[in-house]
Amino acid sequence: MAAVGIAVVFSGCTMYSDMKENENPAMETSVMLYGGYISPVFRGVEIADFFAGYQAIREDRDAALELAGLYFGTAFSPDELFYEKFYVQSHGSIKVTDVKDVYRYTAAGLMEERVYQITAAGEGRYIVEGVSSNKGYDEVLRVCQMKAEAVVEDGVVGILGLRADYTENNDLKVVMSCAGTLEMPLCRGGDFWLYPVSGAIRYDISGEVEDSFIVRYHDGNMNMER
Amino acid sequence: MKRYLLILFAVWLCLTAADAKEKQDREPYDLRRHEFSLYGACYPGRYAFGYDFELYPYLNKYNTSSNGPVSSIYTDGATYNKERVTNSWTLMYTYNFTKVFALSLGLSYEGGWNEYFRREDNRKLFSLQSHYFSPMLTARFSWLNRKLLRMYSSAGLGFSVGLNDSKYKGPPTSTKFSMQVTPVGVSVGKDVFGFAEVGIGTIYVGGCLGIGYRF
Repeated sequence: MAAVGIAVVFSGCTMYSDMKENENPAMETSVMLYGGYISPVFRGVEIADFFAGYQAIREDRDAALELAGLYFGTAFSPDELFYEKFYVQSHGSIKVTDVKDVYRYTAAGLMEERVYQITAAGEGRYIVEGVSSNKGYDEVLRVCQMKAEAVVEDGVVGILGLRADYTENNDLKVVMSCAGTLEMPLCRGGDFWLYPVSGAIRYDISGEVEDSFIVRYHDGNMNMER
Repeated sequence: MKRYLLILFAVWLCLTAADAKEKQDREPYDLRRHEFSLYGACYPGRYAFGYDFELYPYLNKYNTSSNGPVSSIYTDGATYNKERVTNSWTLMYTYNFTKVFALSLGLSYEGGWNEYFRREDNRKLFSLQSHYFSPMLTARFSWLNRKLLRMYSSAGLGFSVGLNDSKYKGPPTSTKFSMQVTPVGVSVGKDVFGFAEVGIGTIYVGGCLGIGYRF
């Protein structure tokens, strides 16, 4: 009994090590930048593709809800579908602007508001542009300017071209670009993919850190090449 | 009816006899004035309110979150750390004024060391350490006193002095208010005794186990 007590008390003398954490900073970086800046492009194009089609039928409420159901299943609320605005919790919100076929998309699930301008160029093509800046608790200012061209075809969002310039106010710069068309199936019923099913993104890091690598996606997996 | 009365009488007799035997077994309470004890926090110990080894604030760039700036992710990735914490230990003297009320003066200690190594060749880059000493005055009320078993509650107030090495971002010494509340404690033994407490405060949160000597 005493031995158990002593063992319990001495178990409070702990040792912690982060030796097994962040062993691959390149992969950590790609996951962070993808989640923060590239993933919203897929969500934005998806909601824009619905919203562009919806504008033509928005006065027919039944047809509009049916179309929304095709895109988002039960993941949307009819109460959030307005003529000029639509919100889906998993995607964010989209609004019309003063310019025809140009929408203002605010991404969901991020710590700060990140806004993109999405232009419907016709035949399922979309141009996504945005500049975002935010300062974290660490006082580092991050700015990302990006432009992407995407197409929605056969239930798949494809990012044909992408260029994102991410900078930190400590002289670090990361350029993200497409190294092969990134493809992700549409949400369809509320389930969505977190990562592309095919394609690749190239990351070029310069400044305080110098590194270059490509993250290739295939069927929900990813691997890194240098 | 008579039979039920007889049964009731028999039950009453048994209860009375048992009570008499219990009183006979109970020796007069032996008040020992002085006690020395040593105890250690057992769970969760290091996460007590008082000590902030988690903060080591200047090391942000070595401990970045997954949302950290890219430069910090790379700096963090180039190093790893080993952090050791001693658990919280207390040495205490108690004076029993009566069998119910006692005052204790305790000194608690918890220390931590954090070493950083370069991942590439495991070379140690630097280390830093913090040590906390917490003197505390505690009032204890015993609400069950038996020959070998005591149960009590206590509450203590004091302060905690932190000694940090020069690499620590904060001041080299820091003083904080310190308190500890123990709703239930139990001690077993006569001269030499073991005890266990459940409590919350700056010394520990959860429980503690200890040993002591009365004279």
